[in-house]
Formats: sequence, structure tokens, C-alpha cells
Amino acid sequence: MLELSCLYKTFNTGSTNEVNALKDVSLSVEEGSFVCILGTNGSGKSTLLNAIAGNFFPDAGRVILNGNNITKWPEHKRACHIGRVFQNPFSGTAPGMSIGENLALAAKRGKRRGLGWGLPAAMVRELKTRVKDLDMGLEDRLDTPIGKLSGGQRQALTLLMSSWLRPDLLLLDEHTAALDPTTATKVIELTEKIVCEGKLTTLMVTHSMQQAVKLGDRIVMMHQGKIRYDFRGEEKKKMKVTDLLFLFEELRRKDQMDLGAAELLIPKKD
Amino acid sequence: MTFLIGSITIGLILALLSLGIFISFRIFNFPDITAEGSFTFGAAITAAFITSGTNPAIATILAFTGGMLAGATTGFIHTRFKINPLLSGILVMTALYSVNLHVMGKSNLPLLNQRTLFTWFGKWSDHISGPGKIVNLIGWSVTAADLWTLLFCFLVILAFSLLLLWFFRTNIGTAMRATGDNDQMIRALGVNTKWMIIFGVALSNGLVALAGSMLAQFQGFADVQMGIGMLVWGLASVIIGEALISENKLGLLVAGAVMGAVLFRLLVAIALRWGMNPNDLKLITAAFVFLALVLPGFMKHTKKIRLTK
Amino acid sequence: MDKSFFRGILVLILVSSILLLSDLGNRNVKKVAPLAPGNSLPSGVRFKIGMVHYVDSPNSEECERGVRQALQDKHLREGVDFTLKVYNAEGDVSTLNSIAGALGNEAWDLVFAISTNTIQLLAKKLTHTKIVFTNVGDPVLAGLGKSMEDHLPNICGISTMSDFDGLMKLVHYLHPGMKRAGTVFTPSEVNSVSFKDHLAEACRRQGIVLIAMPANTATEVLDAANTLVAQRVDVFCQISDNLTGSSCSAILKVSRDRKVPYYGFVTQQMKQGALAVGGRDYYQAGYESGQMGIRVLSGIAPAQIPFRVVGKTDYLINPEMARFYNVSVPDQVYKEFPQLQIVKQ
Repeated sequence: MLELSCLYKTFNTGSTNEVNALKDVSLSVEEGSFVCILGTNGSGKSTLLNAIAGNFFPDAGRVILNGNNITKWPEHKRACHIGRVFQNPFSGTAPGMSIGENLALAAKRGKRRGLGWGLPAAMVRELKTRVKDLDMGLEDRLDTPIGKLSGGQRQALTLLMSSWLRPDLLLLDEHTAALDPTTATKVIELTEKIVCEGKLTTLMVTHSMQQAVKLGDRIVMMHQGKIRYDFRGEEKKKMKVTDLLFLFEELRRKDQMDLGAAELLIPKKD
Repeated sequence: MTFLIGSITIGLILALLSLGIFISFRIFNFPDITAEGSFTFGAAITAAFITSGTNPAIATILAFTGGMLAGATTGFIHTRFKINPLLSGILVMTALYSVNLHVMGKSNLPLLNQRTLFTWFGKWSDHISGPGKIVNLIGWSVTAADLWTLLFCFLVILAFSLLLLWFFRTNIGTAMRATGDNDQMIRALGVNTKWMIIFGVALSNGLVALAGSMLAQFQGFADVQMGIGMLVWGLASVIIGEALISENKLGLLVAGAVMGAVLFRLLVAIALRWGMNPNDLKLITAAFVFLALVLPGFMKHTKKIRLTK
Repeated sequence: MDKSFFRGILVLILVSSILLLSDLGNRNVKKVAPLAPGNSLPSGVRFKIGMVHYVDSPNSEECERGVRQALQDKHLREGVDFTLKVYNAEGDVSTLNSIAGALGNEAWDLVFAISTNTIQLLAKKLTHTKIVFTNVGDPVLAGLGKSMEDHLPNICGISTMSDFDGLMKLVHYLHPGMKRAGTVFTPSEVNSVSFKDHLAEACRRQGIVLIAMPANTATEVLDAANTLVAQRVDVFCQISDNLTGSSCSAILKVSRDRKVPYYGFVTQQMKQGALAVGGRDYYQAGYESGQMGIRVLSGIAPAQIPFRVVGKTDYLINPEMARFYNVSVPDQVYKEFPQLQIVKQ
């Protein structure tokens, strides 16, 4: 479904703030796969998602989604195939507009918008049914401006909106990072449900190793702009949080040595 | 009473300006200075075409189109060349100054004896009520012509308000509102925000130019300096409207912008009527706007205090 | 419909009522009976006179002074024989509209309109009021009539079109070999453009080329003046409009610093160091329009009073400034131009 080849991206080239965010990143994701992306700070996890979504164009490399070479497509064009949930609960919904209007906008993701009425009665009925599934009591408050809802509610709605029309790819960028533990759990449950029901190809960036271990069928670990570890299938199922912690330690230790020695290091295993 | 009618009429004409500024500043979050230039642009186009014999309705429509072009230019400069919205507006506004002079051919075009929308409507209404008729309105004598003009302006602004309300509830209109509210979200939903902004600013300036066109026809001349200060008037009207209507629903906001424009002209009229030193007029109107901004907050505060006692 | 909508309507009604309250005096009032024709002012009548300025400028203020003096000289006392209400639109067209509305609400015996924009608006809005204008450069160009005699029936007034030919003759006499004259003008003021064109014609008649530099704001006036000097004009022949009138000291400073002689069309500029002027006196213009107004008050219809250019042009010269600019003023000049008067700064 998703094919990333040799992606390079450097920000602020030539200045003192130069950051090599992505260094020769290649990744291949099959349809229906749920990938958790972990990494140290500044490893390029969010940059990777942004590169796929189209917030910027890579310096080199290709992005191929469902057979289409979308490397040069602008963000809004890619949106036809991609659903996104952002880390900031405020980024995914329009605060001044009502719940109903936000969802109606999502229901037309990627489609041509004309002079048809924005919220016809049939749409409202459909909205109510699907919002009821969230189990948050929001189906009776479709007229409320979204700005009045809590972060967790907004994030749940963003999740619903991103998957309303089945996307080819779902991008989740640390979407529970800004929520309190109870709400975060609820949102994760919702995520699992939606991904499972729709059999969606998903990339989830997360800081939480518990989430990485529990969800999905693949773990990708990034460090300093490169993919360092990639665990799938049985290997992934056996991974525990302690294993991940150990791997992080390894990465940090390698940083403190020169490159040659780091390559020779045999990983210690307990 | 005639004074009241006149003030309300001017307020309704300038409500178009208020609506235009509402669209760019509030719906699109785009601080658009172009309005100073496009207001005069609308007046200039209409005056130039009317004096060369064109049908006033066509001249007015051309003014609207001209305003849209000016706004589209601002939007284009901003989205394509990534120039700050304020600067984009200033660029176009400055350029329009020369354009307006070219369009009018001189700095002041009188429309004293020309056919305008108002003379048209006047002729038609004269058929109905008879020419030169004077009406007694709760004791004051007013000419029927003035009342008809008021009705005309009211109908125009009503039509445009309803049109806007309808438009902003369609699919494309809702997407536009979202562009101003959260452009990252709407891009992730597949909307080309660049085109949305260009169209939005174009629509806003179209309305502003229309206001200029109608005012020129109402007052009987177009002057290249007409637009100066109009942006501030328009913003003040929108802000007063928001102070009047503290809800966030679109329909109410539009009504608020119109009411704000009318209220503002009424406040100016009162300041004039009290015969204050004419040099103090601008200071007084600033004071009125200040009160309009501060009063709602103050009332909420006293309500809270009363409730907690 | 929401509560706040009705609250908004309520506020509008409230404010409208306040406005109406101030108008109670006009309720159930019959229109004022027209004055009987005649050449004398009816006694015992208190005239209601209005005056509208478009913008604060020295010229407008001089006009007002002239009007008041004319009324005083006819033994009319303010507060007793007449009331004078002055409005100022402060350069804002929508305020001017509101003022027109305020005027239209009452019956006036006479209204003085100062400046072109003012008379254009009032002529359209107050078709039944008698209006006398002043400080209007070109009344025909402003659309007030087909000619100075054939004009709108309810208005008359004094034009302040400068005497371009008169001054250019003097300038040419004092500078026989000169080729270029310079002036700053304001493209956005229709009078300014008209004056510039007339001046160019007058220059052409003397075999001189006029270089005209545009300016739109007070700061640009200084730049324009410097550019004219850079283009090597022999003298400044500065036309007077709202902008250059109020910013003339900037031009005079450039003229003094760069030693380019300054000739003007406004008498006050002699105090600021002009070499010579051929000035339509704005005070005089105000005074003559005041006199015209009195004729209207005594019953003569404005339609029968043709527009007039202000009758008095003061030609003033300052020999000290002439020495400063190295311009020789032969005694012959006083014989050639008998109305030329010597003044000190």
C-alpha cells in the first residue's frame, strides 16, 4: 500500500539550525498493516508522517501510495487518500463550527464541494448514528461549537472524521500524547476499534511503549533520521516494554562512541 | 426625522462594506487592507460607466466584478508569493489609487444629472406614490422619496445578507469558513485552501466595491479620496455589531455586521446633532466605539457580581 | 430568531429615538415662508445660516473669516440678527454625507459651502436650499453649471481660480531668459489638475515650459519640490490647492535652501518668503461670498447671480527676497505693473 524509498529531508540548510530530519528512509507497508513508529526525540518520526501527508516535499526520494507516486502532490490532493489525526487536539477540528458541520466536512474529504446544502437532513441522521457509536453522548449536541468540547472529545471526533470515508492510509501522530491517561485509554480503544473494523492501513507515531507493544502488528524504531529497528509478525508479538527500553539504551550508547566502534558492538542480550 | 431616515439609509449602504470586511477579517481571518482601494474602485467604475451612458445596473455589476478582481489579486499575491496578508493588501490598495485615477480620468466625477439606480427607483416609486409627496410620520413630515430610498437600500442589503447566509451553508461555503477557522484541518480534508482564500478575499472586496458604487450613486459624485478611512469605519461597524450580538452563530453575526453599520452612522449623527465642536467629531466617534467595545464586558462583570452577592 | 438579535434591534430603536428627540423642534413645523423680493434685508428677522467646511485648511479658515466680516460689515450681529452653525467634515466623505443629512433636516435661510466637494454634495442633496459657495477653483468643471452664468438655480458663489496669466507676465518680465517653471500639484484634487493645466497654458503663452510634479501626501510634497529643483527649473510658480496650500512651507523651504525663486498665488505666502505673488485672497473670496449671501438673503434668487471669480487680486513683491534670490527688480516693473505693491516679509 505505502512505499517510501530513500527519503531525505534537511531543514534550514546551511544555517546553524540545520537539521537532517530524514536520512535515507525507506519503508514498505502492506495493506491492512498497523505500524507503530517509535523513536528518540528528534528522530524524525513526525517528520516522516508529515512527509507522507505532504506538509513539505522531500529533498530526495519517493512516496508511493496505493500505486500512485504522490511525491509531488500538494497536501490537499493527498488528502483524498489519507486520514490524519494530529498530536494537538485542536488541530483536527474547526473550533468555531459545530460538531455537525465538522463531520459533514469530513464526510466530503477529497470530494468536490459545490453549492449543495452543507448539512442536509439525511446527512444529519447519518451523523447521529455514527456519533452514537462513540458512546460520548455527543449525538444530541451536534449543534454545539466544537471549541466547547474537551481535548479528548475533540480527538475522538478527529479520529471519527479521519476515518469517515475509508482512507487508504491512516496517519496518527502521537494523538494521545496531550490527553490525560483515562481519556487516552478511551481514544486508544476507539482507535483499535476503527482500525479493526475498517481494516485500515495505519501508521501510528507514539511515545508510549505500552501502546507500541499492545497495538498493531509491526514496530519501527527511528533514531536520528534513520530507521534502526523493524519488528514484524511473531517477533513483534513477543516484544515487551523492557525489550524496547533496552533497544533505546543501545541506541544511546552507540551515539556516545565513534561510528566504527558502534558498528562492531555486539548487542548485549539478557 | 429626515435626518434619521438619511442616516439609516447611509448606514444600510455602508453595511455592504461592513459585510465585506466581516468576511475577510472574521470568516477568513485575513486582515485585508485592500478595502480602502476597492471601495473607491467600485465608485470609480460605476461613475465612469454611468457618465459614458451605460445602464446603471450594469455599471453597478461591473463595480462588483472590479472589486472581486482587486480582492483576487490580493489573495493571489498572498498565496502564490507567500507575502504577508497585510502587505498584500497594502500593495493592491496603493496600486488601486493610480488605477482609480485612470478609470475616472480625473479625481472627481460628478453624477448630478445622470441616471443612477436611485433615480431609476425614484421614478418607479414616484409612479406609485406620486411625485413630491410628503408623508406624515408620527408628527414629522418626510418626503415619500426618502422613504422609498430607505426601502430600496434595505431590500438590497437584505438580499445580499440572505445570499451570503445561504452561500456559507453550502458545501463550498462551509469549507471556506473552515479555511479561516483551521486551515490545517481543512487541507487534511482535501480542500485547496489557496483557492478558498483567493475567492474569499475576492468576495469580500466585491461587496466593498459595491458599497462604494452605491454610495457614489447616492451622493451624486465619485471622488478618488472616498475610500480613505473607510476601512476603519467598516471595522468599527463589525466590532460594534459583535458587541451587540455576542453569539457565534453565522446568521446572527451577519445581522450584527449590518446593525453595527447602521448603529455607527446613528451615533455619528447624534454627535453631529448635539452641535458639538465640529473639530471634535472624530474624537467623539472614537469614544462611542470604545464604549461599544467595553460595555458588554462591563455588563457581564456587574451581572457576575450581583449573582455572587 | 435569537435573543441577541432582538437586543440589537432594541438598541437601534433606542438610539434612533435619541436622535428623534433632538429633532422635536422640527415636529409639526411649517416650512419657512419665502422672503419678499427686494434689495433690502427685512428687519426683525433672525436668519438661520449654515456653513460647511470639507477640511481644515488655511484657505478655508480665511474664507470663513471673510464671510463673518462681510456679515458684520452689514451690521448683522451674530446671535441677534442671525445664527451661524458651522460644520466640518474633517476630510471625510461619509461625514460630509451625514452633515448634508443634518442640514436637510432643517430649514435654512442660507448655507455657505466651502470647497468643491462640499458644494457638489450639497447641491445634490439640498435642492431647495439657497447655497453660496466659495473656495471652489473651477465651478463649471465641478458640474455646478454649464457656464458661469447658466448654472444650477439654487446656488451661486465665488470661484477662486487664480490669475495665471497675470502672474506669469510678471515672472516673465523679471526673468526674461527663463525656460522652465516648476510646480507641485495634487492629482487627486480635481481643482489642482485644472489649475496646473491653466498654468501650463499661461506659461506657454509666455514661451515657458511648465514642469509639474505630483504629490499625494504632505510628505510627498517635499520630495516633489526637491525633484523639481533637480530637474533645474528656473523658478517655482506654485499653484494652490488643499494639499499644497497647507504644505507650502515645505516648498518654500526648498526654494530658499536651493535659491530657486518662489512665486505663488496666495497672499499669505509673502509672509513665508515668497518673492512675489498674484494672490486671490481667500479672505477676500470669503468676504465677497458673504456679500453675495447677503444679496440672496435680501431676496434675489441665486439663479440670477452669476458665478464670479473673486474680484481682487493682490500683486505683491518683496524686493528683499528678490535680492536674496539674486533677481534684479528694475524700477520699470512698477510702471509696467501698476497694481504691484511692495511688501516686507
